[in-house]
Amino acid sequence: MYQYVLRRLLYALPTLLGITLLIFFVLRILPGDPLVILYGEGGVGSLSDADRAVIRHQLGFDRPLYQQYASWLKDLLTGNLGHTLARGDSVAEIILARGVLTGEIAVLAVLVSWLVGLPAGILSAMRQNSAGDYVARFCTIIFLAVPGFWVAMLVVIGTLTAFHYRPPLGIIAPWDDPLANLKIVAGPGIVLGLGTSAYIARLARSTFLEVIREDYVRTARAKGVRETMVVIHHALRNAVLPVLTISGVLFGFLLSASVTVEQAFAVSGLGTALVQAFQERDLLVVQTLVLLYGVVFVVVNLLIDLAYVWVDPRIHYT
Amino acid sequence: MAYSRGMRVRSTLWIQVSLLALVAIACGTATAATNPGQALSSTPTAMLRAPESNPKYGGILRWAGLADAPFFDLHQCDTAACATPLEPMYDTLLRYNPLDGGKTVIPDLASTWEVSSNGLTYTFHLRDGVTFHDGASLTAEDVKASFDHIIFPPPGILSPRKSVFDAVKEVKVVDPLTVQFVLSAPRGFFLEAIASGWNVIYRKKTLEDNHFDLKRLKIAPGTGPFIFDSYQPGQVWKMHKNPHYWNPELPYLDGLEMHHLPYGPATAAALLTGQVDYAYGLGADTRADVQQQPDKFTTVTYGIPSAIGGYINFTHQPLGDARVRQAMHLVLDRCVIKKTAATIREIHYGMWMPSSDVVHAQAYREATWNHVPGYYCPTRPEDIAQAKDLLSQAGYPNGKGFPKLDIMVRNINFLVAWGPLLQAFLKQHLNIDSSVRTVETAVWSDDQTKGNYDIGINGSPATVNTPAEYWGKWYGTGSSGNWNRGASNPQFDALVDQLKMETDPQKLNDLIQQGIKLLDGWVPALVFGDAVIIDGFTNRLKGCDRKDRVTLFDDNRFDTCWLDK
Repeated sequence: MYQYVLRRLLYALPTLLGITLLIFFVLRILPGDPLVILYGEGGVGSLSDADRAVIRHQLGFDRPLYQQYASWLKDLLTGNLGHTLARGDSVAEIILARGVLTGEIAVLAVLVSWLVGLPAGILSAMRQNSAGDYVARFCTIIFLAVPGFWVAMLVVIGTLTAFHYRPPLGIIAPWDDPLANLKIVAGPGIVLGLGTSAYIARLARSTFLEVIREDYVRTARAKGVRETMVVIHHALRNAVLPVLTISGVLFGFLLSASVTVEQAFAVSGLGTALVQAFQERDLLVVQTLVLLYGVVFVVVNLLIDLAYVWVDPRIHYT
Repeated sequence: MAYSRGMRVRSTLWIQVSLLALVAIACGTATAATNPGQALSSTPTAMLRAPESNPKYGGILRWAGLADAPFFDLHQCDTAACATPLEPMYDTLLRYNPLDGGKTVIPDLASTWEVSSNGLTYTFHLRDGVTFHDGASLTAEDVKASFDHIIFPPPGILSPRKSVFDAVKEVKVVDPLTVQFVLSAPRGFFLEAIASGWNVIYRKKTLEDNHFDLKRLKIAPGTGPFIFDSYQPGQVWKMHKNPHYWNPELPYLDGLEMHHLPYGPATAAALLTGQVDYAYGLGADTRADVQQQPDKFTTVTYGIPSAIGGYINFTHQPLGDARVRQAMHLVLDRCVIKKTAATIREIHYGMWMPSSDVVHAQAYREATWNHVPGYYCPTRPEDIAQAKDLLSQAGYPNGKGFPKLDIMVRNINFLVAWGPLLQAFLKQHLNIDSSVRTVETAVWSDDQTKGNYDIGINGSPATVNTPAEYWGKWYGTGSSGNWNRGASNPQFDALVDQLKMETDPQKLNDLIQQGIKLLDGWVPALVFGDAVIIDGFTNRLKGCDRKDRVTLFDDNRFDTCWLDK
């Protein structure tokens, strides 16, 4: 088991290295001048070419790209995530402060997607082609088709106009004020979770339809086992494996989807920080956050693979 | 109200000049402004306090708006996101009066001042006993160091507003509490420029210890009414009352919480739900929601000196041809432009002088709107015919052979709508094809600097509400705010130089008329409008009624504000 984990982590290294290469060089070929955030639109226009050269040198922008890349990797390996270009805020502190909110939103979204998607998928499969099945399928298609940020905007406007409610301002950690924290993450978590639940429901329905036609399910029924027990003990465990797999993938999508949904809810998570950094062409922040998302994606998928062992004892990793 | 920031100057220097002029006229001599022959001085005034008779102390004012300062050096910054959260911690030499919306200049760290008879020397006397938040005493050396930082920035330090002080030869320390500005030429708006909220006084030691670059210093000690507590990037600033503030009456509030929220519905939502007491930049679409509860909230609307529109790349032919630019200017339907942005952002009709400059611009704007070709609403057929004729004279009859234009739009909500709109005007009336690309600010600025655009849509603010300053900034040769690449008109530059020096109101007006004629013929830019800000606040907030406010960057100290419990 440990060897497997180690091997997976080693396999992840080239993936993460690829992410660093891709994001670093793609950002360098994108148009836009990072000096604008340092000097403003008016200020940057008044810079002479000589001024620009001096400033670029001071910031290290004039070094060959491979040197800049190597320097960034070295900083990462030594745990130095650097500082934002203009204000000099610590990137590590930004991640710690905002990452909690984004992490909570993603976890809440996965929970919601399971709580909604899995029962909907199972009921849909168990009552195939019934009115309930059609309603469930219609809802899943709606959730798949409608973008999360649009639903988010409707929720924000609806709660504001109907209840004069708006989530608390700022970043509030769960250990500081759990209720206020929950109010901040609940909206985006539920909206993202409902969107994701559509994928879960559709996958759960199709896998469940396969599983309940298996011999061992038929045998269980023939033995007189109650239908509830058949579903929970025999069918569900086997049907849930693909759902687990897709959940890992969806978790990654949730991180990226949270960028727009956080904006709509005005939640100061990592997604909002990423958008702002990109607009300001704060390249270090963008590449560090993208790499962080990559790391989370890799780790979550590894954890999902390990969870197979718990769900299905027949699976062993060596 | 027929006021503007320009009146600040009148309230100080020009009112005194006028009085002297009356005396001079009575004596049968030339006006004081043209031949002053006498020094001018301020008279000591009472300390600033809330206008109400019973202001209450205590409470935290929760404010929401643009507060995500890109950095912490007010001298180098040029966005409201710096001005609002940072200014409460600092003082200036003079300041705009927060009680009249910023229409007059009043003493601040300088309690009195004198202007020499030739208008070339300004002497400011500092208050005694003023201390910085770190306990150090304020001296003239700090004032000199601060203004040297602004006017003569060292290499690598930018000063976006140093051109306002282009006539300053030297800032001299006369004694520990007296500082003198020596000018090479008179400037009619000098006191107004000094009072700008950007020109806060830092400690000389702070500047020197940080190699004159305070961008990353959190937070340079000031002398202001509020002291820095904490800052969460992109979130909130917290400050508490300065118990040793030199004005014993102020501030009334125990502290400030300034939350960063994007312009528009987000700030309105925070106000409506009671999360904040003051919302900056409500957005035109959400103003009505706030106004529906007059028993709870007040809204105020104010213009700022700004030019929003299409900045032209003169180096890309045929845009260097004035006839082409005139033709484009004539086919703009400014009513449609205003309506297009109306749900997002309110603007005033675009003319050469912004509506915020009421002293100089009001008569011009009234005489121009619906009276001058290019400013009719809707656009008149004869103006369109004239535009076509001009284009034909330039060698492009019915737009034939005119190169396809690249319209670059800065990615800000209300600007984005104007790209396709300009595209439609040009195609519909002049048969000019164009493509529109919406880009991030960093790209807009980069491409503008490199000249990779034909018409760039954006907005630029000015520091002082007088044509000498804003015309120089927006259309002056080589100015950092002149985004019309290659636009240079020596005649216009000479006129702006004259405007800067002129103090006689009549001559100033004559020069302005000449300037408008020059601009009408030259058309350095396609002006769509000037910006309007809509704020809302709880009726519990007193002492800082910003009705008829004419400034955005200059009166953000909140020291006269108080909360009625």
